[in-house]
Amino acid sequence: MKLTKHKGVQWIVLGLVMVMTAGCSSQYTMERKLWLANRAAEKVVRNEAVISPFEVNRVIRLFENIIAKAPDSSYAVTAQLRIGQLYEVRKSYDAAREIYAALETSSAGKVEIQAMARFRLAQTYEKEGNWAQALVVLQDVLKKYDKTGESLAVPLYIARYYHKNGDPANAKRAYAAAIEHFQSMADRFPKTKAALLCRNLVLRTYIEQSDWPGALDYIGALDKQYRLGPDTLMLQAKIYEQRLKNKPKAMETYQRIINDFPNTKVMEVARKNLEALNTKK
Amino acid sequence: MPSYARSQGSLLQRTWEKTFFLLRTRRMLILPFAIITGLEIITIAALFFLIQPPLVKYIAPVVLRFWGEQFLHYPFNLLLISKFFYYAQMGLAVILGTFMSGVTISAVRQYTLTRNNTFLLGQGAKQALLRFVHLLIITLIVVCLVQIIYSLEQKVLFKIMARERNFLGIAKDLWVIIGTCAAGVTSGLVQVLFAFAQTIVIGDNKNFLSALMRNFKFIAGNFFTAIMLVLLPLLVYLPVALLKADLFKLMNQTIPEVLFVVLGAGVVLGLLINVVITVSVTIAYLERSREAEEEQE
Repeated sequence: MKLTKHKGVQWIVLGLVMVMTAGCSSQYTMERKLWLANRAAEKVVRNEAVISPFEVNRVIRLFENIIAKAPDSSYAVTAQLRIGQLYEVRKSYDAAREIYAALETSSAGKVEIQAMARFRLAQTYEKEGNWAQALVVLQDVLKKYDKTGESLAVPLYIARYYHKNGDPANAKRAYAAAIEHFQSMADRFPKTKAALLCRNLVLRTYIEQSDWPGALDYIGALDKQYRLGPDTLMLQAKIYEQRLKNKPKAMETYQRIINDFPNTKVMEVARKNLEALNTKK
Repeated sequence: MPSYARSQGSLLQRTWEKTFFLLRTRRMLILPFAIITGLEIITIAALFFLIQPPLVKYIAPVVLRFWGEQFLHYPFNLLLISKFFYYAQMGLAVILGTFMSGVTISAVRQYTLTRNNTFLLGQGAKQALLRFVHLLIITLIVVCLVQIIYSLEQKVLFKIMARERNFLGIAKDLWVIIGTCAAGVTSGLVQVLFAFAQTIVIGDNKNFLSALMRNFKFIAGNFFTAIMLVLLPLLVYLPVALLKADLFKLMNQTIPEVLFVVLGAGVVLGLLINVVITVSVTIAYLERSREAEEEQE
């Protein structure tokens, strides 16, 4: 009631609200809508088992609204991927596949998005229990979009599927194929960040299989070819120490980190680990 | 000891009565700090424009360099407002806040010492300008000490957060609250220690060094009053400080725009706290000085 006495205050508040509202750029509005919709979608995905279809549909409408407002934007791409995901939650796999296929077609030239859409499409088959078809589509991602980050995820995804589903023979084959793929990619694009990433993936593939001698052989080969960095040396030392219980080799590697990389955080860790090993009987 | 408590209690009661009477009847006293509040609100609005196109392109290189790509997009870009506002507020508090404190102290002094209880803000501004350097040095000392406390708190909290296990079995979220409260109370105590220095610079026309000496002497005799006059109002700010301590979590749990509510609450509370502390501290000092003069006579 008192505010009515102070018309000046009212005008100032009104002015500020108008200025702030006018200041909301379309980027701000769209990013805000997308963030709120994403938050709602995450809640749906987290509570997949108990969420009501009504709520799923409500969130889908939020994303559809974004697509309608900015159809040719990156917001629309994210919204389409999310809608596909929400259809998957609703177990409407055909509808999800339609969304992903449409996204792949409409994103001509944007290979990363196309690869992502194709990957998601494969996952719908997997969720449906049709692994054979999923595998066909995943191989498609590898062939058609071989220069994308998404394609690099495919070999390990396949191997993990077999591993998760208790099929060690196929898992071993898939891991071997993954190593071969990453190695060939590293050779195809030498002296690039992609090559570095692929070599890391080879190492990760060995580690995932708990193939410690294989991992050490690969690190050794890399060491001959390039000068190893402190992180890889630390990994080598830990494999010796924790997995193979090879104390002398672990100490030797820690010592090398201390000598080659003085005044680094890794060196500090190596020094502490070496001291711990020295005091161990 | 009972007589000390009685005298402190009586001083406190008189001070608060006079403070609230003065703020109720002479609202112009709020004006100097209200100007700062207005500027702070304008700064928040300006920062809101700054993080959006077309202006964002000018700060994009700095944001990319120090915070990364995601801080150019919603809702992380809103956090930039909080970060930038902290520095802007600090600048305003040091330069303009010091001056406005001087103006308010002078106005309260004029009101108390004139027969017809009047004051002229213009005259206060003139006096504050003349003593500005001394006032500023005192502000800078306090700000530096408070900054040291907060950076220590950050370092300790960082170490606690970096631990794999909960330190002393206390959850990490709780450590944030403990750290914020501890830093808030400690920095409040620092402000208590320097509470009367600026009043002395203006009132007794002393340089900052003499003012500091006289301030410490005065605090030694009136520590309880100083604590109650400075620390108690500052504690009102603690809820806002706690909300600010984990602002991103709050933004995620509610809506990101809650940041404006927190910043706004901080600005408004800051105005009230600054006014109450400055006026009450000045009145307490003038009351004690009057008592001392009466005793001498």
